[in-house]
Amino acid sequence: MLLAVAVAGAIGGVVEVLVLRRVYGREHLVQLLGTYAVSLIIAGAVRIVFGANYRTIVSPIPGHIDLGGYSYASYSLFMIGAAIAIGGGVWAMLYRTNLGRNIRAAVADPDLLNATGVNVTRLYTTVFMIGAALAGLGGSIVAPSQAVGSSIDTDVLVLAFAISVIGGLGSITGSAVGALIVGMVISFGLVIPATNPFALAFVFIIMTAVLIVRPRGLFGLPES
Amino acid sequence: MIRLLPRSRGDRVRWGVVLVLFLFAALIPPLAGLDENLNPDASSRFQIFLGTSALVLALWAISYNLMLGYTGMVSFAHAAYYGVGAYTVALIFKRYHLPILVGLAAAPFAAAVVGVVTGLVAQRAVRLYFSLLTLAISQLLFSLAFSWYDFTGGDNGISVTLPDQLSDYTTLYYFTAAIVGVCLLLMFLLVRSPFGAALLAIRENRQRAAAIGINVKVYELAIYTIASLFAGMAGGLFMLYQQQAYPEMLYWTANAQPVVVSLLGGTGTFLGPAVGAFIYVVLDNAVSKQFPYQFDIILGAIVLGVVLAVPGGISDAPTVFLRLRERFHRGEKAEAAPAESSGEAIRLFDVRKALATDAIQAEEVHPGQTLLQIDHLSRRFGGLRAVEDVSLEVKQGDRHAIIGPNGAGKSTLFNLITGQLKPTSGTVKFDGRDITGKAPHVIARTGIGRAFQITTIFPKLTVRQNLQFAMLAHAGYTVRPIGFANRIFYAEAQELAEAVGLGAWADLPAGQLSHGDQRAIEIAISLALGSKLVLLDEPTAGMSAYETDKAMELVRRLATERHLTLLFCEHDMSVVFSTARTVTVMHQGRVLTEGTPEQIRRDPDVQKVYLGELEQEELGA
Repeated sequence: MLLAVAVAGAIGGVVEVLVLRRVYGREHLVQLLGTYAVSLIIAGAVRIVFGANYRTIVSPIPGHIDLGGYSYASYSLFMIGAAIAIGGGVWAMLYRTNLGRNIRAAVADPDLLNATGVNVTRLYTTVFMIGAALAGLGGSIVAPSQAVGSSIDTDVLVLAFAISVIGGLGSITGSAVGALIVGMVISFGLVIPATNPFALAFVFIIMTAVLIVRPRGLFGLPES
Repeated sequence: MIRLLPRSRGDRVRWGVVLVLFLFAALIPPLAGLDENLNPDASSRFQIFLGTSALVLALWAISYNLMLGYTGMVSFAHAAYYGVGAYTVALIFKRYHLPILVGLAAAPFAAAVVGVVTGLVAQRAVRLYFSLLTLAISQLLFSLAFSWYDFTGGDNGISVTLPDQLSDYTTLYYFTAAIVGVCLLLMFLLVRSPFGAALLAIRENRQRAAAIGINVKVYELAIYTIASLFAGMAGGLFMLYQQQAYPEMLYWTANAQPVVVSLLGGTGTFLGPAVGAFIYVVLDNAVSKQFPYQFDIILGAIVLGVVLAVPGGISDAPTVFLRLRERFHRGEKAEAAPAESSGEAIRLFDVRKALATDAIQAEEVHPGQTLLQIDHLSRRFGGLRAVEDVSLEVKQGDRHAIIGPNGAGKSTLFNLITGQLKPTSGTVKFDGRDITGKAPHVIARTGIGRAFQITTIFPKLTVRQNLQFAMLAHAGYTVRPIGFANRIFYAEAQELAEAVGLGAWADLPAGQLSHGDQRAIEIAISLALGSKLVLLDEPTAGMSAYETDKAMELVRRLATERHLTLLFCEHDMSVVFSTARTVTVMHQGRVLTEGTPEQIRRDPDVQKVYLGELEQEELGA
């Protein structure tokens, strides 16, 4: 798991320096295509190294725990705990450290931050590495609970988009609440037979509604 | 006048390339047959099949580029309309047992209907949020196709067996080529039309487009719908040669294909994506055959290379070639057109000529009558009262200046008049009509032109096009989907460009001109609108003293001889006192006083405001 975090972080750093740095000033689409190309390359590399088949990983924490008459897989409980801990950790980093303060300042005005003597270029690299490392951490935690394949990227990405939008871009509370909403909608949608086939559709109906009624999301800051 | 041969060498090269492309496309089946005869391994049927797929991909990519290249909209839902087209053909044929051509005819319209409905929803947001909304819409449509087993066949998709007359590869190829050809021609005419000019204006500068009277949202919805119409056509054709429709066609990542293809070929040219499509298909086939698992990596590397190294795409190559050649021949051509401006345009300002220009329309005016009436206008931002209870009258034929220290609310007041901001309370009446809170493009069409404080021009369009498009929008021609925009008002725009000293640079992209020259374009655009009232927000900001004198001389004389009414704000007091007949002084969002320049000059309160001595309490009284 530590290896996953380190590798993801390192790849993130390399990608940021080699690719993203060159496209920051350009349109959204160019940035999007640059990262899309990188994801193609990484997915292709994964397929060559690990093969195209899905893999399953045996859960490192086997067994079940009884809570209030229901039985839960221990590993699921561990994932919930880990998610809360990581969310709290990110919040603490953003709001309780110098690095976090710089990140928030860079969002508001990178040029001004640069003028106060902060190396914004390096800050971006750091942030991108942290993000990539966290993604690696999330992936490695989730891996034992589901089949893993090289095409995992786009499904996760589109749900991540939905969660960020519903919760509000740039808000950790929002992301947590958004994730809860999306998770609940999918789970309940799948359980109820009448809605079963359209569980995913509901997520995107909610995403559409949020974007129309409140584009900044439930917890996002208003755009200046 | 119609010219048979393109005039410039660049045009000749471009049209030559286009001709070769079309010949190649027309000759693919015989060439494939020839190849099969010479080379026993080759299958002409497969190559013709590849050719068909390249044609369909070209149509799809160019339809995407209608939005991306001409309007700058990034949509994730375009693949969904492509999918809707394919499903329409499949469902009509399989479920309703109607001829396949009925389905093919219905496909673009089905896609357009879905496009206009979802486009209306997506339009509630702009830029990044617009893209995210299209992503949600695309995933919604995908989940429908994926999960609605009874109707769409769910994840299995639908497969169809074609009737005999279309099952022959060569026939299908020419059938597809004919439809694609007609679609390309229609799209080409559209982007060259005044309607296309409006789209370019929107891509270049939304704010300026609205300020010359273009209803940005309506035009964006129109091109969104038209693009989905052609995507539906492409999807229908896809269905024909693949004989199946499946839900992954609608998945959001499916949009990557037309985008990558457009990017490979170049988003800046009309046929660029078609070139990209052929390269993509050939590459896909060649690489997949030899390295089945590595296609993604190679594609990724190529996309990355293009993004980082050749942002213009492959079809930029002739331009690059020409530029290199010109550089090589530079010594021989001493009298080349000026490659860049040096800020001299304003010195070439020919005031007399400008006054005689018919391009600047003169309105009949009744001096002394009220043209613009502002009553108790207020605008608050949270607790900040940017404009507070401002009442103001601008008389026809007047030259009215608004002055005041920074933060006095001058620019906010202008934004309230021209609709960039909506007032919290109060009314604005122009020429007897209530225009309070109306959209900028509506206000521009009622006859208020505006030069912004920060230069807002269309940077990638030529200087002449900047003026031409403003004239097109003002004349209401931009609703026309036919006709060549570049030929309408050509002479008038050239005349105006020469009058403001920009004649020599008329063919240069406006963004390449120096700051002072761009200010001249800014002023010229507001004049090209032929407005009754021209608002100038610090017209001479950043100009040298000499440039300022020239610019203001033009503005002054235009106002007198062409009966333009001016409302301007300015920090340069010499400009104010030499130009204005009426001066309104604003301070902290309120009107402090109003009068002739002489009265204002002597007013002790005004002197205090500018010396910073006026206390808050005195104001409140």
